Amino acid sequence: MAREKYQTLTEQMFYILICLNHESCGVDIMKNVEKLTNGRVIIGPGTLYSLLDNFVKERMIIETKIINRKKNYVITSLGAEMLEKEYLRLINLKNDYEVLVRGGDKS
Amino acid sequence: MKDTVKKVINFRFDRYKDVEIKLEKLAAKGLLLEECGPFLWTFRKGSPQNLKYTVTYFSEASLFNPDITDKQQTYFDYAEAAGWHYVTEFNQMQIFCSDSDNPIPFETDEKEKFDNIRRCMKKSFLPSMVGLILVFMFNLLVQFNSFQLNPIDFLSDPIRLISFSMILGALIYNVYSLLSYFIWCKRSERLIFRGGGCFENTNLVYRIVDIIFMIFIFGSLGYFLHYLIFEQSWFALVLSILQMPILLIVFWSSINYLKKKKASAMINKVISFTVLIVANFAYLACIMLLIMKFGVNTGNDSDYRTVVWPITSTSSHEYRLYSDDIPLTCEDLYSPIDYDYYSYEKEIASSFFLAKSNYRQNALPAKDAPVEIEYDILEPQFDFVYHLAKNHLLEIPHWRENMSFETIDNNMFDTKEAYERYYENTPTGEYILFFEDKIIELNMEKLPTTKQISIIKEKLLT
Repeated sequence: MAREKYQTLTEQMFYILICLNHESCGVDIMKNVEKLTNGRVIIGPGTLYSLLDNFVKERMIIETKIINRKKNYVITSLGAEMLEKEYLRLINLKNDYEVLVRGGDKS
Repeated sequence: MKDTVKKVINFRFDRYKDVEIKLEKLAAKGLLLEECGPFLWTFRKGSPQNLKYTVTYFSEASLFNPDITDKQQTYFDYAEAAGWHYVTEFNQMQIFCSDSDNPIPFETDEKEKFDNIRRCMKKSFLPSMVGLILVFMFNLLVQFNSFQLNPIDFLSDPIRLISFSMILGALIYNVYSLLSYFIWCKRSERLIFRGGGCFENTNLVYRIVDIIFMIFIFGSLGYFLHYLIFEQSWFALVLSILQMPILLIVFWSSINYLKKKKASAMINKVISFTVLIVANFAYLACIMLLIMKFGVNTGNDSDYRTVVWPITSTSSHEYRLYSDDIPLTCEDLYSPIDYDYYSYEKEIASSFFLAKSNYRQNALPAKDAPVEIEYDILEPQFDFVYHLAKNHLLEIPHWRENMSFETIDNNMFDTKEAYERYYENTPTGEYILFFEDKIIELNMEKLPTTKQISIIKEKLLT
């Protein structure tokens, strides 16, 4: 189910999973993504809540602990696998673009 | 001076954009949202502010939750971190505001937003819509059954016609709302697939339909209340007006009491709905009790006197003897009659379709009771009503096979068609007389003489 739904990840999903390579809470994720992307990718609070909730349901992340009412999450091996898959997909896109549009060698 | 203002806000889940704009305009005028409800929203008067509002849905929120849940608190924390301050909620709808000129959008993934709205609608909007549609359909079915059993009484009773049309209107509106939800889903899905956002319903047609529906419902309600005041009684009016607020107060009190007692949402829901159903039956039972005890009615403001009449050698019963003005009396036909206990009663029901006037002159029960008379005059306003009434009057119920109708000479009463009811081949003295524009059902105990027939014609047809 998870694999079907998240065959490709949106930028917001991608960055949330990246952030969760280290245990973080939702508010930190929201701030980190904005900082990492220089404000290019912004995650609204409603979307953040939905995505984290869905990721937990799909077992791509797990809830670790609650500190000062803040829930912390970390990526699971399934989540990491999906992130890796997305990374490879993006590399393939990049390579195809370089070969087909710029005419360079495929590395 | 009151520092709060109540405003009627007709809200639909798919018109969140309209509400956001409206709230922003009101805040700019110094009216800041404090609480929202199903219809009435409360605003606090303050200094004009440049606020942005967002209306979102949180699927785990519920009217019945004793407190803000942990998950909801997390949701609020995320909102706060993004500069959105929680304002209020109603059921799953959550309203936040921000004083920033350009706040982070609350939802930044339209697909997630759409899935979330659909999840919320599955939990509250769809079940309540389907439930209401089923209740309305059942009610219409019951009313249609009563129409089939007696179209004359149904079509001449404005209260039943108004309530039928109001429920039909509400049913059509609910089906329309349900269909527009599915249309909204389809449109949003298509837009999101193309990279756009959820479909924003600001269509003028929807607003016009809403206004027409509101005018229809409030217009019908106004007519209903007007009818109760002038045709029934103030008491009936008060009982009808009070029913809805009393039930709502009971329902809300139950919810709030259980919330205070920290009952779980499920227990609160089950108990509050049970309380609502019980309160409804109790209210109806109280009305019945009052009617039985005080004879509330009926709008019959005619004079009457009461007599205590012996039924058996040991018991007696109190009877009301009315003295309504009726066009044809037993005295007209059989005078002189030396009897002081006649009750002369008339009941007139009149609607857009049909006017039915029932007149009767009854004696008190006794072995040697004098002659009685009863007749109905029907004045249908449309041909189809005339035919419905005619078919109903000449219908022989399957459980009365030994009843029949025999035609009588039209010259007798100057009718178009005329019948006498027979029971086991014996004339009953019950005539059904069809004229050009009226129908008379005449119930006499004795076969009328030529002289009496001319009196009947003179009294009832001129």
